[in-house]
Amino acid sequence: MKKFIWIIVIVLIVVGFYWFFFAMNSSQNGNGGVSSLKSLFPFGGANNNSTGTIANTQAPVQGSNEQTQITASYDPLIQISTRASVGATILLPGYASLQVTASTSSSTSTKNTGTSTSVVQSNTTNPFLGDTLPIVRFAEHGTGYIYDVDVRGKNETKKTGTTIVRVAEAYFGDAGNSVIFRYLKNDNATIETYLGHIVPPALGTTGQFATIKGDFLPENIPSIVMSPDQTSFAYLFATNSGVSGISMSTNGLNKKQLFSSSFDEWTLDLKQSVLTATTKPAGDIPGYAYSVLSSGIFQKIIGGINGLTTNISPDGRLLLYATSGKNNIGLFLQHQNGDSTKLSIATLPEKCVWNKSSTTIYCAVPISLDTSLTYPDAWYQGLTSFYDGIWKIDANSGATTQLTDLNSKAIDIENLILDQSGNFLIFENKNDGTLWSYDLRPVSAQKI
Amino acid sequence: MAMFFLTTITFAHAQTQSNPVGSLNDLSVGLSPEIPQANQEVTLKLKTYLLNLSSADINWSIDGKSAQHGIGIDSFVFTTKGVGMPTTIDVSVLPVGGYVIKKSLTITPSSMDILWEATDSAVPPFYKGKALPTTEATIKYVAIPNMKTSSGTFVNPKDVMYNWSNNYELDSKSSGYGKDAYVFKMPFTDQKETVSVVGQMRGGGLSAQNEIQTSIYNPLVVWYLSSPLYGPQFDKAINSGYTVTSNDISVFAQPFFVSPKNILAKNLSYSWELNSQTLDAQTVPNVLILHRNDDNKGDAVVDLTINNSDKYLQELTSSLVLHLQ
Repeated sequence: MKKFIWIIVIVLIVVGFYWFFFAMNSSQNGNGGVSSLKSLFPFGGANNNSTGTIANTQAPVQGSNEQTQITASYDPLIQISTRASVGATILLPGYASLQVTASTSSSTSTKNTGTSTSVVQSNTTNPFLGDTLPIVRFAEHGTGYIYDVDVRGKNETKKTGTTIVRVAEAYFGDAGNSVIFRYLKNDNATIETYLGHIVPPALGTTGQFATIKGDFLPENIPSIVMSPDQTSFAYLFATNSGVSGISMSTNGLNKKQLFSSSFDEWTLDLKQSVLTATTKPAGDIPGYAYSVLSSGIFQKIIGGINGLTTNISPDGRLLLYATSGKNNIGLFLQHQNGDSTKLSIATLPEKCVWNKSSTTIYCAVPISLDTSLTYPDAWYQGLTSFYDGIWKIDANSGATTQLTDLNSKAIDIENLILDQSGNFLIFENKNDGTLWSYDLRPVSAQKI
Repeated sequence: MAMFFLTTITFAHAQTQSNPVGSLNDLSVGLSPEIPQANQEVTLKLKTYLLNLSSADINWSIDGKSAQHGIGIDSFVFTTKGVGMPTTIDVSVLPVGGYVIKKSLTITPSSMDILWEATDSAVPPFYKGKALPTTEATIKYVAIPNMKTSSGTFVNPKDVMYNWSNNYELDSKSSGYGKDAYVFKMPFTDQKETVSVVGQMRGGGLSAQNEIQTSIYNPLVVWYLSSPLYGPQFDKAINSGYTVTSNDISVFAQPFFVSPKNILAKNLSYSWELNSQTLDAQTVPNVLILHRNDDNKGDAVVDLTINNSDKYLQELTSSLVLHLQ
């Protein structure tokens, strides 16, 4: 009997132990545990897309040997820099063209040298998971300094020391090694455009930034667009009778006239071999879009659409376009046979980005519109700002799915880019120019 | 409303008999619309002064296939194909007591877009939208033909003869080969202007026409912050007011759609008031730089009036409220 009582006691202890360590932990990984972790991870929290919280090991403070085991909820949305950006690109994983010292170490070290910072290795590796994250290279508003930061906002490093004040736009070419800066001169009227090559400091030097060397392009270029492979770009050049469309390699060579037009107000779009020219939009005024043939002749894609704005697919077969005017924006997908499908979401195509294979579109969609305004004019003039959510469009079926409401943050998305693998969506917040990243990977694949 | 068109009327086999009742010259075919567009419904109607069509046996065929046949069917409706895609219509008419008359038409649609832009309308640098015309604005109209030959090649716009009309009056000086642009100054009254163009490929054949009406719009002032580092920050307007937390502030008044494009041109004068007190002219006429002492709090109202000495009755006013904290 005594033996039996001991067995009962041992069983109760085992069951209690099990309950304490497993059942309680399970409970804490639910909603009850998240709030306390939010204070550690400012962007962790309730997000519809992140239905399952991913248990991860928190990254240790650099230089510390301690690895505190903390479970965290992973937020696919993250602000990757507090600096305002005027243009960004995503480098290939492992890309390290501006490294000062050739190194294959997976650790990243930053050396503060008083006035400057140099980086030993520019590719970013998650120290815990061993995988490499793509790097975002961007130019800072106002200064023109170029920074690299990984798509999860870690390891931001300054790469160039060439100051270009009042810079308003930057386009990266040549896999991030060239940059086109656009800034306004002090007369507040003249646009300067500078095509520069990023020259890394000599090997073996420390405490030096890369410099930018190049040449000015003509003044007052109204529109410019980089090719998807970043080896060339196209721009408009004013002539006595209108404009010429010019293409040039990012090394400044191979200048070629693509077309001439008596009409000036074009917005160019360059996708692989397809150059598209769309008339600049105004609400409730018909707009037109053309494909520019190699002969320089304009072949009509669509026309007579009020407030027309466009975004053609990389393969040139589909046209995402919007009609807009007073209190309305409508989004459509035009197929190659000319048929159009109205989509269930309403946004401007420039708030969208195509994936490489032209099968999926990611769009920032305003949650609501100010009904007293005319679009897109009011948005371009800065008279209104959107609260966006991110949606995914199946380009074949036209089906739309909301990925996130951005946690109701005041983010007015523009200049979206998608990394090569289609895993990360990078965009700017028009309100303050800050860069954000949204992790598109399945929840099971998301990592800190 | 773009249009195009190629019609060729060819002589099919007309039987030649002595004293025939009816001949090729007795019959013509009218089109409505006269210059059909792509994918448009078109009506063909037979016209004759000598033949009695109501009793004639008439057969219509389209691209070689009989489409309509009967007594007195003197009209035929069909839909054109896309730009550059020909449709051939054959019609045969057999009058009572006469001989068969045949006619054939080939219609290849073209189109003509008319784009327009206000060439002297001010918008800020990097502005992505369209500059709109205000009173007395100069507008440039540009024709973009969409003409495709039977071989499938597009016609070069410079190889097209353009005839421009303003309110349906031909402007022969602005018309001619390769003259794809037409410049016109809008009146100061709020009336719509109709500009039309007819284009014909060099050597005849393809032709297209279109017309367009343009209206005038109101100019406006949009306020932005400005700084030496960033310049004017055009992404975010402060028209609804701005809370000032620093001691210095620079506000940039951008007039949209005034003429000329250069907003610092001499014909534009800027008059400033702060809390109803007139201010001296600013160093940069459209930029107001304000400094306040720490104890200045409350609202300040900035009023701006822009006068355009080159435009009849063009005056623009705007106010900005600054909340000093």
